[in-house]
Amino acid sequence: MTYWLLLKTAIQSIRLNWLRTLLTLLGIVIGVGSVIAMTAVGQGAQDTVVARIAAMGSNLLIVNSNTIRTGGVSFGRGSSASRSTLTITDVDFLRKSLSTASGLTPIVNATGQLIWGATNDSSSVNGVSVDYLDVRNRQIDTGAMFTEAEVQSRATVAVVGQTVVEELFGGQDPVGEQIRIGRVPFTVIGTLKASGSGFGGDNDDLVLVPYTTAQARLSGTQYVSQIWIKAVDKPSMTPLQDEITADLRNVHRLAESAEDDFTIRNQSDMINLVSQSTDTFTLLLGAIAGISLLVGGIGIMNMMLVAVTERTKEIGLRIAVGARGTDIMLQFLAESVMICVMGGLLGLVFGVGGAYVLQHFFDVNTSLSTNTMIISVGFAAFVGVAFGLYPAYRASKLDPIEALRYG
Amino acid sequence: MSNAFKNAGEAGMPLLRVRGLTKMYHLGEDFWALRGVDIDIVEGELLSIIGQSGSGKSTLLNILGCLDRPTGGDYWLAGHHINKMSLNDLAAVRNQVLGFVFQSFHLLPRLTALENVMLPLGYDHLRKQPNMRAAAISALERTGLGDKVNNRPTQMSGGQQQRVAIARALVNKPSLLMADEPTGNLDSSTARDILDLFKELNRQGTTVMIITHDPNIAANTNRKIEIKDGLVIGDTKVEHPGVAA
Ligand SMILES: Nc1ncnc2c1ncn2[C@@H]1O[C@H](COP(=O)(O)OP(=O)(O)O)[C@@H](O)[C@H]1O
Ligand SMILES: [Mg+2]
Repeated sequence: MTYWLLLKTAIQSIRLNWLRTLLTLLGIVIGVGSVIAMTAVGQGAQDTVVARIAAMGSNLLIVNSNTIRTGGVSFGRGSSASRSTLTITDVDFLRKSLSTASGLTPIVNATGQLIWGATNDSSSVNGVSVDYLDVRNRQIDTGAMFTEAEVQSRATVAVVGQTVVEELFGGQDPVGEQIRIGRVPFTVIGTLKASGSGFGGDNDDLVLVPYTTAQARLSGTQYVSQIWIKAVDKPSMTPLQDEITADLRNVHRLAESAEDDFTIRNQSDMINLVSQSTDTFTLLLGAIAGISLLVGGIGIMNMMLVAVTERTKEIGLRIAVGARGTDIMLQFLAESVMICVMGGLLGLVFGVGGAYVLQHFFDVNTSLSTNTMIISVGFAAFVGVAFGLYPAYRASKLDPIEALRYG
Repeated sequence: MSNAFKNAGEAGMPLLRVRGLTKMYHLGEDFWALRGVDIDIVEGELLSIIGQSGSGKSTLLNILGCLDRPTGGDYWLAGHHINKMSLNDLAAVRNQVLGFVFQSFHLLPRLTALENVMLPLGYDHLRKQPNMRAAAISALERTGLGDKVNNRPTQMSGGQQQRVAIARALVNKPSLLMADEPTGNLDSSTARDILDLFKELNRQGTTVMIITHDPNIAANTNRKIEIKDGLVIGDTKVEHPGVAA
């Protein structure tokens, strides 16, 4: 038979039993639909997290102080700046020694009530260097960032985030305003462009001051909570990390056998870690959906076996007028593949529609992948072949004399 | 179909020849439904194979129709040694050389008359007739159903359905038309019409073989082969076909 005739014959039989076909098809529709929607959700989740990590800046290395145990009591890092193992000496040393760093900023955590006239607000106050903007990929909105000279002179100047602009200043431009952080008066010289929420909450609920000022006037210690270092490019990240480790161990005078008293987190490692875990998650979702595709295939096989029995007489007649075994086989295979491909295409529509609904009505970030679509519809066609093969084979092996006498 | 098959013919052979044809069925013990049948059929004949129920007529037809293989003996059709053919070549013989007409029509109910008639053309791997539709319409016209091409079997009488089935048997221009009790499901006046159609087709050159248990039908053919218990017991020319015995 020609392909066109095969197709036409398949369509004729499907039309004859369209309701039964539709019901059997549902397994495939749900299978393909959920593979597409599920992997879109998984991929979307990954994209979101990766985007957040990327928003921190690029090619970043973050040095954290390790927890110091005193008398069995453990203090989480950042719980108290005075417990940090990192000091301004480390910062100064690294700044001089690191060759492939394009920027470096300490983070000195300081807390203190913000007061402007009669209003007050609490926000995180970070003592940072002028490199902060470059390292954290932030931009100035109005006014300006403080300068190196202001850092050196421990100037009492502050740059504030948009949440602070809203909450403390009621939305008006605060540049030039006098505020107090705790009891220390500061002049607001600039505002940051909004960046949205990232890890650890609102990236805009933030006040930046020179780290020198933060240490001298707010925290009163030499300690820093973190040091953020930006590598010039991705390939130089790992050598840079090794260099930092060596430098800090040297400055901290750690014995050969001693463990590091700091931890360096590598931004690309973080992205890989997240990708790996969400890839696993996506694979799991895909596998569950794949199983429903297989179950759908069993339904197709069942229906095709019934169809072969129902059409025993037709098969006998076709053989009598000259059909070969392969002609009969192809006829039933074409039918099961066609049903599965129809199911696959319907599933594609539902999967894409489902992802759209999740994205636009349920605020779930989704990311549709063309590969997944092609693979899952292709897999549906494969299910059609795999599960149609046995019924088609049975049909092709019918004895025409028996078949013509059937029923 | 192989080329050997296409380039027909061992010289001097009749259209159909069987020699010592036997068929055994296993039913607990061996049962010989055919016990050595010899028949020659030449082109242009209109013959009947007649016998009581259970005499072996259908068994013989299944073998002559290439739907079953004999247990023993030889079979040549259109010059080809059927015993030695592959399954695919047998399918080609059924498609190209033979036309079947059944007692119960065997039309596919979901197809129109035209589509039913076109069915064998789909299995013609040589594409002998490129315009399938035209071939089917002309076959239907030959059986007098030129105005019913788009009717479905359920919209037609028994006689009309059998005419569709005959058109289907004719569509590939077969050398031999085989009919198994073709009037068994029809009333007597319709049966006469169908018989007349077979006679007309024979006059136009088609070799026709009718299998029946009905002497009245056999009396309408030119030659009567009588079988009993799997053996040919009579082979007579009919003197004045059309006169009921
Ligand atoms: N498939 C079969 N298995 C066993 N016995 C069969 C089979 N087909 C036919 N027979 C037997 O062979 C004999 C001839 O049958 P059949 O050719 O159908 O006769 P007819 O068509 O003349 O009535 C009968 O006795 C029948 O029971
Ligand atoms: Mg019979």
